Amino acid sequence: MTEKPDTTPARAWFMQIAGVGFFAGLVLVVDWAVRHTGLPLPAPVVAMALLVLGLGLQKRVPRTLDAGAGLLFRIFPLLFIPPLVALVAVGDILLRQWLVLLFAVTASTFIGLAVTALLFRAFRKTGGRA
Amino acid sequence: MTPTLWFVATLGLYAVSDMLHRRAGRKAWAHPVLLPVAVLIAVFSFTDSSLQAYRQGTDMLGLLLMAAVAALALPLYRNARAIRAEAVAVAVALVGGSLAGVGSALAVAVWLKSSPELVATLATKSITTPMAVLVSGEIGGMPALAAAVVIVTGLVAAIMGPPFLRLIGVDDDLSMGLSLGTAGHALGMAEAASRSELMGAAAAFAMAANGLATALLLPLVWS
Repeated sequence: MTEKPDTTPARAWFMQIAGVGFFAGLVLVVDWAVRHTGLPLPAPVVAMALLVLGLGLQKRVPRTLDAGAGLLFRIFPLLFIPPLVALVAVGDILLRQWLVLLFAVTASTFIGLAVTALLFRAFRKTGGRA
Repeated sequence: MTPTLWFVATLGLYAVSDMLHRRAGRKAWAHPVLLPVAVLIAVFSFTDSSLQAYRQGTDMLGLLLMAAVAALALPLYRNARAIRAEAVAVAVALVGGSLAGVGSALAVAVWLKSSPELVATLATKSITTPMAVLVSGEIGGMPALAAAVVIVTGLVAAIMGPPFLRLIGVDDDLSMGLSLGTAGHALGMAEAASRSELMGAAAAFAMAANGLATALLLPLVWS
């Protein structure tokens, strides 16, 4: 990387906002493309895959993107609040089927977590800790 | 309340909750989404507040969530070598973990004689929300409930996943990241990304691979 290190908070802030703007713009463009092609794929995951390919070709991560990603990761939990609050809309079904749903979201999630981690540790080449 | 006020209220509750989470030493039970979600769900359950206005006011956060998922390309790119080096183990773990998680949920649903719609809905529990909604509709499930099941599955994985994995002796970043991404999709991945870059990268890869594979295979298997 050839850029000089940032010294002013204003410039750092601008880079964060520009980076977030890039990711948001990319997702909107990919979302539009996915809708128009009718592919059953989520735009954010397709955008992530395209970005990995792009970074692989460029062989470096632009600092603006790094700054934007840092800001987004810091507020990640905040972004899940609206979809969780929207559970209110299906509250009656949740209450009616609570036993099956309780098992589905707890025990089976633990089983999924444990099987993934233990299979990975059993099959990996390095054996010990990563 | 107006959409703008809902947005401000969500930000304010999150700021308070995040401060409490830090003060509690980042303990799982103080996860910063719990307090705002509990308060807001109580408000919508016990008052006549409009969920439509809330959704309008927080639309922007939905776009930022999609942007944050795309931004996971950065840790994924930086850690691609570590994941590629264990390609076989990663593939076995993702397939096995995904089948075990969905299989155990389906087994209990069938055992409790649930409706075919509910069984089809649970089949999509471990893939990310937009995909779950599409796929559950395709295989005869209930899209609105599918979204709810996915998001609560993610919350359970994000809050209880890391302490549970440590309890069973799993404490390395790569194993934890793969597990959180496979079983807990985006919310599990967000938790992983907040813990370390490698854990976040592994979770991002697991979520993407699991989601894409399930979305493509489930409709074929189900028919």
